[in-house]
Amino acid sequence: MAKASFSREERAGLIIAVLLHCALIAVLALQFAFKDTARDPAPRIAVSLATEVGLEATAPAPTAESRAAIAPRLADTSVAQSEAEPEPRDALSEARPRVVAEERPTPRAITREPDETRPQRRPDPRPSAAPRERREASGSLIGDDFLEGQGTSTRTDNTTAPAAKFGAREQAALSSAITRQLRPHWSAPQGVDVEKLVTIVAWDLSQDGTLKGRPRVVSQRGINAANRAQAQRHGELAIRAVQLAAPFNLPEAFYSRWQRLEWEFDRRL
Amino acid sequence: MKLLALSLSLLAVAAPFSAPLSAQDQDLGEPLAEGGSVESVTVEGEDTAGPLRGTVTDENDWRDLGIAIPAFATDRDRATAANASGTAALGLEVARVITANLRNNGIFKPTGPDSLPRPPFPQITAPSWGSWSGRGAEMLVHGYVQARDDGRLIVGCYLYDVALRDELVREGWVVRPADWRRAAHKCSDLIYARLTGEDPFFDSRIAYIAETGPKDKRVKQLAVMDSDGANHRFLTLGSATALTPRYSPDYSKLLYLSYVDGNPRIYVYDIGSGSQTLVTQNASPTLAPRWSPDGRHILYSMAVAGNTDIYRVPVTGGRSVRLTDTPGIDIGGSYSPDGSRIVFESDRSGSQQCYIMDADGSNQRRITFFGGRCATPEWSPRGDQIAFTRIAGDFNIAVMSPSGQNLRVLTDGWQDEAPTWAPNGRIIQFFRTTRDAGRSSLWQVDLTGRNERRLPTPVDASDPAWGPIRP
Repeated sequence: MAKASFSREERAGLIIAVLLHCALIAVLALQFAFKDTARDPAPRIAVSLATEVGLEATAPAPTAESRAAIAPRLADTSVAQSEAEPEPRDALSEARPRVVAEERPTPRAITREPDETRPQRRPDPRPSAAPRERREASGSLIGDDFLEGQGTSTRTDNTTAPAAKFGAREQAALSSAITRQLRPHWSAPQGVDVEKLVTIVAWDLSQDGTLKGRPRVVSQRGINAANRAQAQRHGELAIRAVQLAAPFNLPEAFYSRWQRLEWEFDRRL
Repeated sequence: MKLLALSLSLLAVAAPFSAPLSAQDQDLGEPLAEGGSVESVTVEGEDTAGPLRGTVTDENDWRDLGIAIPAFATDRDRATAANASGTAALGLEVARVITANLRNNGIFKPTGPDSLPRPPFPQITAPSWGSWSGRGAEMLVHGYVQARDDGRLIVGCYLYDVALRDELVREGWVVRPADWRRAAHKCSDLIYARLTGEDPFFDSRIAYIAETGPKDKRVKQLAVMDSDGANHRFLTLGSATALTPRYSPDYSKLLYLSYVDGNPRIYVYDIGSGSQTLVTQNASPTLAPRWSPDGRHILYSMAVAGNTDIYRVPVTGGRSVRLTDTPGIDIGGSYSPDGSRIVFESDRSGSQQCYIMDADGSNQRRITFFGGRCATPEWSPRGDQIAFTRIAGDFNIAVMSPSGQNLRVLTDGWQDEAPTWAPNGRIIQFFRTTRDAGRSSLWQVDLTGRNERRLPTPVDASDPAWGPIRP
């Protein structure tokens, strides 16, 4: 007789062992659920392919901003899950003694039998823990109201990859490209107080970067009695620098922005 | 500002309404408000319509400008009185003089004719750009020397920008064969003025005191030379000590101080005739002569019973006018270029300081208040600066504005004194005495203080005086 071979103590010990195992499983499951909430999803990075100087947009219709991906509410239970999962759990709960089922703190059980669970457990793990836990199972978490997006903006509904229109950053890059090409050719005349002179030269460029017409001095400032003699030469050398720097090598896509240029020429040590 | 302009234009519109009060008496309606103008104002916003703007800054150290100066060409080699071997050899000499002129003021890096190929005559007006741009020179000087049938020389001078392949300036001169160096100076002036924006100064002369002999028995002679040290001549024999020469504005006369009768007296030396006259008949010693800018008056100082004051006398002779009357020493007056004011040196405050007064002696006021003393002031020919000897331990050359502001010390020798301006007011000449041997020599420094150089003289030299540019 197998029954007789178990002593009362043994039976009690066995029951306690089973109970304790169940408690251990429950504690581990709960711990796993908490850990998952703490993990944030990685921020999305929008990648746009650009040329070396980063002036030219690759997108055919560039947009400055693009909407961030939005999931207004994360789905509780995906359709696939609700069908597939309950089966084994139900079987389990039937197979287990009643006490075990009562102890189970899993959120699933709560949804099905709200009255059964302990009130103090409920508010905590519930709202976000539930969907996370299910991720391991096959099926999508993304709800029907999920909105696709590639940017970070929350103010626009545009969903194409953000690409440069001619913005402040592109203007700065273009300016420094022009300054870089002018600098080797620009040297101010020598003299007293020439550091105070500033010449503004304007010129027009053709699409291929060559000069259209002769550069002209728009204005000069900082002229005083000591450097008046150098002022004219200052302007002449500024024009010379532009002439020597031409043809300019600039991105053709932004020709409309660099066809007319106005640069200040000065000296500082 | 914009609001103001806007409200002003609104006022202009409103004005016709309020004007004719009497119009109501004449059964007239309101006049039409016409004639109000609409002003356009610049509005804030993204500036996409205008040109793209930016700034480029020259942050490099000063770079000397490379200039290639090959020998001047000639259409055919003819004999000339200027030298023994014809115009071709003279063309080489002219280029050498220009090279030496430009080398010596620190702004240019000239390459002379001895290390450059000689361009043929047709290339003077059409340089072969390719060969010159390969030599690293940014500027190119071409020129020619031709002998005319009447013996005179024609010298042409061209300045080209090699990088731009563009002619910057050209000029030609007809000179007597003996004046061929002046043509070279004129060409140097042309290049200097074109590339610096300053007025020319190479075609000018310098008077100075040549010093020879031992320290206790120094012989001081009056001497003159070109601005580059050529055409040197002694004007006095040295039996009497000569001091402080000054060229008249037209180079016809030279003022200087001589001990020829044992007392320091100011004489006017006529360069053309070689004769000299006393400025004023007086028993008292007279010192520190200066011309007025128009050359019609002479300023001098006279010591009467231990009290030195500044006087003015017409060149043609006549009564002297006393301009200062304070006790102590007032000396060394120098006119502003417009002749309206005089800067001078006085010890009325206890130490040597510089003062300014109007040309008639009124409105005297001290302008130097920085540490140290101020001596031998000279007003720049451009009027914007006053050069002086600053005595603060060592003697140094310094400049300041006519109001006494913006003091800048240009030299740091042991004893640099007696500044005199180049005709363009950009370079100052002075003499420097060495500490040990006590030898003195002429030096030049430009207004930035960066470019300093010694002027070669055959013997020791002091008291330089730079004449104006020659016509």
